[in-house]
Amino acid sequence: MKIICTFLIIVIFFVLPAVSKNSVKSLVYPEINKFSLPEIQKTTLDNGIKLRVIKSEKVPLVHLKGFFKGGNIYISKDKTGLSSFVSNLLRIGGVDGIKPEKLDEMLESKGIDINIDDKTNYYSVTMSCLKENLEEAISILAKLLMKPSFSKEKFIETKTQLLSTIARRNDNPDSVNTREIKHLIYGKNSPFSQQLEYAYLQSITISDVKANYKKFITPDNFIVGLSGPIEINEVKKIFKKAFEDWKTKSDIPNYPVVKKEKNSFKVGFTAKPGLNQSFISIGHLGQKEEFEKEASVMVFNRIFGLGMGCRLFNIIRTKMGLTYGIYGGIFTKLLFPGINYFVTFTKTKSTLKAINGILDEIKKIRKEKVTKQELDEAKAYFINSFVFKYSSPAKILNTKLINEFYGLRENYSEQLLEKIKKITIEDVQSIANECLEPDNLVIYILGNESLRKELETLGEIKDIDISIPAMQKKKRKNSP
Amino acid sequence: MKRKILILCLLLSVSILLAGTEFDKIKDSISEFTLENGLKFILIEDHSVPIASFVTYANVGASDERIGIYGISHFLEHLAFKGTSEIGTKNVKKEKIIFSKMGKIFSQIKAERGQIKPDKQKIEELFQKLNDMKKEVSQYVVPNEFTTILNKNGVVGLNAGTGCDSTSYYFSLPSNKLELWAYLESSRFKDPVFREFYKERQVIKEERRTTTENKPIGKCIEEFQSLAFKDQPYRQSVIGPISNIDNISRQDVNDYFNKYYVAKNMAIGVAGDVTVAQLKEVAKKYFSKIPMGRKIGRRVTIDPPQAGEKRLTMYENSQPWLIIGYHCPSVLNKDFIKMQLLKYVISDGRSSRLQKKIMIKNRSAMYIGSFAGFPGDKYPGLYLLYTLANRGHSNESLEKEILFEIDDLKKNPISKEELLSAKTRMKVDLIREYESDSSLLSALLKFEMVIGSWENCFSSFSDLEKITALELQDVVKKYMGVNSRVIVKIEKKKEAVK
Repeated sequence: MKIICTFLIIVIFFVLPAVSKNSVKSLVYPEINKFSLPEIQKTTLDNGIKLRVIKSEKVPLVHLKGFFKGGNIYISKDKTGLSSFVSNLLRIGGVDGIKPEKLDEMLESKGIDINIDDKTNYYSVTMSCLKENLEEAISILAKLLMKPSFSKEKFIETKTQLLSTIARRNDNPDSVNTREIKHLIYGKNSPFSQQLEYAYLQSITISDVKANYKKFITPDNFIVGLSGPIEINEVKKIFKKAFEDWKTKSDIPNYPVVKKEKNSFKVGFTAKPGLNQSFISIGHLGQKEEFEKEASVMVFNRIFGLGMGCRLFNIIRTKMGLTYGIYGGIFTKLLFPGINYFVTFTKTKSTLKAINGILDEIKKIRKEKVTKQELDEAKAYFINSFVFKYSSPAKILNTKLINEFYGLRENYSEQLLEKIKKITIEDVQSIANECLEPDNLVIYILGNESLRKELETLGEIKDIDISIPAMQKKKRKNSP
Repeated sequence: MKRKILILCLLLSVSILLAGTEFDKIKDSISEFTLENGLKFILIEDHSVPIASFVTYANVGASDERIGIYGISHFLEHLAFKGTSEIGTKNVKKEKIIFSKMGKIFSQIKAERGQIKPDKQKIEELFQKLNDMKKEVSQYVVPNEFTTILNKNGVVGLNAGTGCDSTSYYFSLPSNKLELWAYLESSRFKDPVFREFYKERQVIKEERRTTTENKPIGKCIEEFQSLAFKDQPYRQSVIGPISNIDNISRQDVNDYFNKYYVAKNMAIGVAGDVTVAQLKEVAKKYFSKIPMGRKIGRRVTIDPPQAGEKRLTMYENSQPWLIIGYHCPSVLNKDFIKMQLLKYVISDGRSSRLQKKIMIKNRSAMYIGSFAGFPGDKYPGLYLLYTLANRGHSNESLEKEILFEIDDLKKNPISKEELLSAKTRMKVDLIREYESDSSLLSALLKFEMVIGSWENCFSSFSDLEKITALELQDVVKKYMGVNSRVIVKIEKKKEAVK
């Protein structure tokens, strides 16, 4: 009996450490299940519309997403806002033979949702409807795109809304902060930081809208994808019927060049009464996206400024308790240089502490190498979360549409992942040194006037006026 | 990464039903089981991609708080990311010894603050002691380790949200990491360590400043709630006043956690490439030790009918906002679904009554929205209308236009076409919402915990089909009277931005 007991104790002694090692580190995961990607079916219609379809059986809904090159980037400063007129009027402005109100009722009675939007460098179209209403939905969408009537009444409705957005643009300190840093970095005259003004909206006419429409909203400039319980042949037939008479051609100018603007000051400051927090952004002009460098950029951002657990989050939020939100990094763009910037907010009293905290971290990451643990964790994040790129057919389609729209190589994301796997500590340090220029950083603060003296310790301050230029009264035709 | 306070989102809209035949396939993929401790699991199987979404629903929110600890549900939600006895620490024993000492000092601070004439010098000295201990304890902390483990395993959408009715924790992982989810999620509700407590208090105060104090609409919503409700749960904002955030102690959070974060007061949802057998195995292994506790009963205090219209005007550095609320029943009342349908008649879509009138015809508003169930729907809440005047138009004229339309709905039933269109849009919106696994999970969990069974999610569709124009007219008459109304306005302060 004793012997048995001793034996048991020995066994338990050896077994116990293994049991107590039941820690998160001891977990072993099975291989990820294999899965097959749904196929994207492609075709191009005779008039140039590029049509992409992916099958998804989950719900009886069809989603459509499409892009036209166009948008604000191609519009001169004095007509800023024109692309918003174009997109909004395409949606609400009516079509030849059908009044706008009738169209709204036709769409809504069937639960069809169509949106047309303008972005910096494209117009986007989204639509979703029940499968049973697909033909009708496409037929209405085709009419909106092909035969817009740009009614005067809807032009005024759009203008009224846009004028009101100007009046409201300083109400939310967060959006003032992220807007003004763009102005400081790109410059107010840059097509990448244009903002609506009363004077610009007053100068836009229906003829301008029609001219812009003619240049950009054409079948040869339209790439469109659909996901849902559908087949390409069926969709092609519906599209052919709806769009076959559309034969216009686009006339797309080159992208404008971005000039690096050098600010003569280090600190931009807007004093706003009543604020008990400072809204801070720090940045400078960045780079265009280059495939060879993008993997390093992504790993750098993950380590330094994006996501819960990055350095800025760990230090400025968790360790110092200075903010609720902080993010930033190197933000490349495919067609023009992005901006590299960092954004946070903190109580008035800790403004300098937060700014210096960010500046110190920028200096540190340029000077000192990141740790192997930081690198491994960032790479593991990209590798393990990659499967979410395929989380739904609509997401797969959307990625492919964007890649195609920008002319990226086939399997761009997959190739990028392979690059990420090979990123080294040196790559991260090298990208930090190449892309972050501490001497060129401009700091913007929207906060309480009481801060002014403290901010002077950071460098020369320039007051940034965010007041809204008043609307000029229209001259009466008969006035002398 | 932001943790959202759901209540501050004006666009909050919780769908409460799912349609019939469209969801047969989905219904077939749903299963449920309950552990011996009473913790319920709901699974939606979808094996198309090897990923899984997880939602933990705690049946506790701001409506369960009491004076002195307003904001604690949200405070706890932040602390639930701070780790466990194993995760986030280099030496938990030493941490806990220091926590205990810190707790005693903080009790002394609270006691001194409660004096008629608090000794400021004494308080400062105590804070100094506390700060020294914060430094001492920080050497044992591994910051954000809970999050870091998830990050390196490919987590997506890691977040949590606190509302008046509930608190939810959610994220997605590749499905082969099911056991990691079970390990971490069960650990933080079995063995949490609310470390970095005093630092996180500062973070929460920053959150309050940015979402409530420096945003006119945030401030306005807080005032709106306290005006609309007298004694019932929805009177307080989720984030709570600074004075409460400042006085909540680690012990308060521990007590609150022990009361509400028990198996019977929680439910867990999983959606994705996971089988029932797989989920059962990890559920039993990891979640069985969560104490059973009891499901928290409904609060009994409900406001009596409002005795007259209530109004408040705030003057801010902001363009005008107009918010109109009408007291409406809870989700348990059969009229609630009618109020949900009403949204599609009143303000949803360009063919709705108010969009047509104030945005399109009169061009007096740039936006109008409405929904039933603000700031929650577990208890009677409000049908909320919110609108932004176009430049050159006033809240005053907008209010007249809106009230005129509401009166018209009382006088005349809507047409057959309007009713059909509203029902169709509501149904299609629900299908759109359903497409997202995490939205569907949240709806199922809410039905389970608030209404009694997730299956009601599907059965209530037939109620929608049966609603008539006369019934809609009746609910407008019943709930949208003058005495039931609360109107809050933001008017522009004269001093301009420099």
